[in-house]
Amino acid sequence: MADNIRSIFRLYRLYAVMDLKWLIQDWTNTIIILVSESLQTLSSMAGVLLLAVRFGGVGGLSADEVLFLLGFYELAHGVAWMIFGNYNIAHISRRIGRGQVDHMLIQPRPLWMQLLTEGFMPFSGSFGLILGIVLTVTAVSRLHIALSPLWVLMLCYYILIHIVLRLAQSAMYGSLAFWYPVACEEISSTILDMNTQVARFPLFGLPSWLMAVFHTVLPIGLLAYLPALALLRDLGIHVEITLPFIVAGVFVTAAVILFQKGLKHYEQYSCQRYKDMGHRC
Amino acid sequence: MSNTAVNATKTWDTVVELSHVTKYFDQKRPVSLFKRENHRVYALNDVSFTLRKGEFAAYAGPNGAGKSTTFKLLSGMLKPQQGEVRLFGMEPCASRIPVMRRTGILFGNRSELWWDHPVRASFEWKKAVWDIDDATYDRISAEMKELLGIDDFWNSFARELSLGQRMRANLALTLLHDPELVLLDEPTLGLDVLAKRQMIEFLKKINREKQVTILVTSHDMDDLTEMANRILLLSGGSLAFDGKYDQLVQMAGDNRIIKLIVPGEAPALEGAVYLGREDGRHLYRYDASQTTAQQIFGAISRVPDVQDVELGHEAVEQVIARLYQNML
Repeated sequence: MADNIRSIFRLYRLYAVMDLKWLIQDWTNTIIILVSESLQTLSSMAGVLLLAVRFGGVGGLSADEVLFLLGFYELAHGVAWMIFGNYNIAHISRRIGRGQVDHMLIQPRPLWMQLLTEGFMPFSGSFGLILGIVLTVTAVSRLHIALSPLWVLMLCYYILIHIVLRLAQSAMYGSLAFWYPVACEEISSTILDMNTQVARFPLFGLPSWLMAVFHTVLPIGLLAYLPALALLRDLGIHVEITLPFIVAGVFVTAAVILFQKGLKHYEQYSCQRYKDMGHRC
Repeated sequence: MSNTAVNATKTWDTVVELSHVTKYFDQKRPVSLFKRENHRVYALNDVSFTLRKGEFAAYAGPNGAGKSTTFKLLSGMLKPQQGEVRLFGMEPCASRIPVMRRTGILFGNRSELWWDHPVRASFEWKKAVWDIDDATYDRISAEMKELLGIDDFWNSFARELSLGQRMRANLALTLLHDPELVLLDEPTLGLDVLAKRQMIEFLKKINREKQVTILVTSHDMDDLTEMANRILLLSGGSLAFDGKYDQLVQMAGDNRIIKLIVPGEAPALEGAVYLGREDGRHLYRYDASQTTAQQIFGAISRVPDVQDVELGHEAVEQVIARLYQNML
């Protein structure tokens, strides 16, 4: 156990150094990446924010509350992206569908450890996180939220739920690439993009059946909307704490089962295609 | 056939052991718009052999013979339907981590290098992931730099390397953790003559000096006969031959191929049989046990306007065909 923890931190340090070296090896490249990341993030949140400002709120939230929702989303997504965003770890169906799992199988490390560490990019992948912190702090200050240790703990809990749900969905659907490498090569990206596009909207006012869907089988509401509501208002129903935990648990279990079944299939059939684009790209 | 049964005997120094391994793939083939037909393709069929410490064996066979499947089985990427695969006495799928610490694997058409980083970054990455201590890392990377000439492109990005450079860097990376067993799948693929020679010399050296067990695949008989002291010939998923090159020559004949570029019709070459024309060159075959190279060069020298001559072994497919023909 202690050895594993030491190894994980050694690998995080390794990938952090690699990320920093990659970022500073070409400053033009770095600037282009930062500018394009900024434009992409800002433009994707502009729609809902402008609507909220124009109409003094949207979907049952005031403009400042929408700002908090967006801030929370960027914060949680930023943490997930910073830890798992590199080399297609978050988009695992690409690695599976491109026959690149072979490269992981010849490393003397457990697969879970590789998946936990290889995507770490604290320098090139931190823009979303910084933006998330700025937006969240701004919204908290404008809304005069009284910060307490419990509130911060809740914030961390919802960030963790966000990360787990995103990765579990990516791995669960991405495992289909073990069986259908061509058709499902991009399925993790498609799922994550769908999450990104819908999760930034306040969901209040939707039909109850759709709300139920968005908080269970397609848990988009658990990524930002429900956490934002729980952090902004005392809902007093406790479901806002237990439901994300249960749903995340179900998704993680399904992802682990499917991924292991997929690996068994891979041991029998391997992948009939291999894309040599630098094997982690 | 030949020595298979003898070589399958397990001893204390057995590094690789395949025991009655069968691996097949079930495929669904479209026969009409809506109908699919199940088809079973045998990649390996009851294959057995062992490799002992310090052996340098060539795993030869035409494309589709099952070479890469064997390597995937040995690397723990695939599991056989029947039989057992063991490396250092362990099953590679179940004991992946300890097996990989002692094994170096190189697939000729794949790269372990980090694409958007300098070559040295891939070495530093491997040092950390494989837990290679500083002394071993310094010693082996210095050796590799000298013997494989990777110092010249140590700071170049992997994506910018030529095929030969990439192959050398990959080989060096494969050997960085000082493996006891090295599995090389088509390591000379796409290399020019000089790079190929460097690689072969290097492999022979580490086999001789460090007693590293090497299993190398290729479909080029010239490379294989030069590299290895034992040849395992695979045909249609079965082992057609397992023994020394001399024994193979005894069984299949020592036929060589002459490729001659001359204008016009194919001239007659004394001591050689004309096979036909391929890529603008006339192809001849001669039996090296009957006709000496001196006699052949004498015959070629009498042909007017010879533009180019190339000599080599028969293609592995032809060796296998002759092997079966002679055994019937």
